[in-house]
Amino acid sequence: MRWIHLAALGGLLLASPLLAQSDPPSGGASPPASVAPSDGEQQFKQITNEFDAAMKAFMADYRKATTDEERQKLVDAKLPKPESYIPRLMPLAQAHPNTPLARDVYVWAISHNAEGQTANEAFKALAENFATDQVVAKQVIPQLQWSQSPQAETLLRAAVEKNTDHQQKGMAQLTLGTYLKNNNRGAEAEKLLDDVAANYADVKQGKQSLAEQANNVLFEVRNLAIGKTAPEITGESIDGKPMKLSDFKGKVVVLDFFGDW
Amino acid sequence: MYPHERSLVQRMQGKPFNLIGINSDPKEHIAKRMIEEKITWPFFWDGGNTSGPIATKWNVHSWPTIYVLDSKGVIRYRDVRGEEMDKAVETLLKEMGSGASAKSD
Repeated sequence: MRWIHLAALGGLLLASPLLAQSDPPSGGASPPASVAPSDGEQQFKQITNEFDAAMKAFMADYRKATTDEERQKLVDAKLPKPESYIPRLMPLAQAHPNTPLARDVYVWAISHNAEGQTANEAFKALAENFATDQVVAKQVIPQLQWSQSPQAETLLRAAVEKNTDHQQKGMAQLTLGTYLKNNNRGAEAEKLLDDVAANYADVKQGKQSLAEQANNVLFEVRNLAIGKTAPEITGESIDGKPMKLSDFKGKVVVLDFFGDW
Repeated sequence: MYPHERSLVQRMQGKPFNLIGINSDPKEHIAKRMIEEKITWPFFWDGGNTSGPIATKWNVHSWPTIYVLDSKGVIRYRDVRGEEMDKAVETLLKEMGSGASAKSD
């Protein structure tokens, strides 16, 4: 249980500094003065700073705690809940639609709580007005392959359709393909991923190109779906003895990819 | 995890069944845990981290990931856990005719 908490906290803590970089670009065209939501921006900063401070205070106490019981108590009592901040933020977006402020509110809401009514609303608004936005492309799109929010697919499709930026379009298409694979829509997933494999060898993301990543997912769609014959596995046991899956032919097999963490 | 797997392996002793792991831990770590947790079933050691060759080829990004294969090697279930896993194994053994201990003599 503790690991789950820590992982979740890591995600929350990461989200805030990233967001700080997402302020509207300085220089270039600034939004027309009539819609400049400076009050709104201030409120946004104030509310999210409040959350960050509460999180910092919580983390400091959490690190000092020595027993699981103490930690659990802290989580129950002091871990700030995004649900109590998001309802204060959403009206800011609604009052200033189609501005960087609105985008920042939606991105914040989704990165702190990616499910439920509010997340759906945020996804929908991003799909309508920010499908090609750089911040959305970087911080939201790549996280959506396992999304449970019905509107996440709407955003992914909008990003694939509307993006003209090669890299952003490729990333969105890889994510949409993977999302569809995860939701048992293999045929459409294959079509999208084939296109990524053919056209995005030039875009690196991490160690691999988008094309390579698409090929990994395609291998799974084509060879590892229910009803397919499992591909051979060759490798070694812990003491270095050669081992292969076909050694166990004629038996029912549970294949368990596991790690002790 | 381990307790459930241990009991499944124990219950299926003598039946045409194998639990096979693909492990992503550093060697020393899993060697130690093997003894502590009584991991007696066979497993592939996949290079000591989560981007080992088998996990990469099988596009595994979350652990555990489970596949259940029938006696012909066909993938029949994915990511079944606990009782669901037991049921899947029993169903496939029955299909083979050896799960039901009803011998016709």
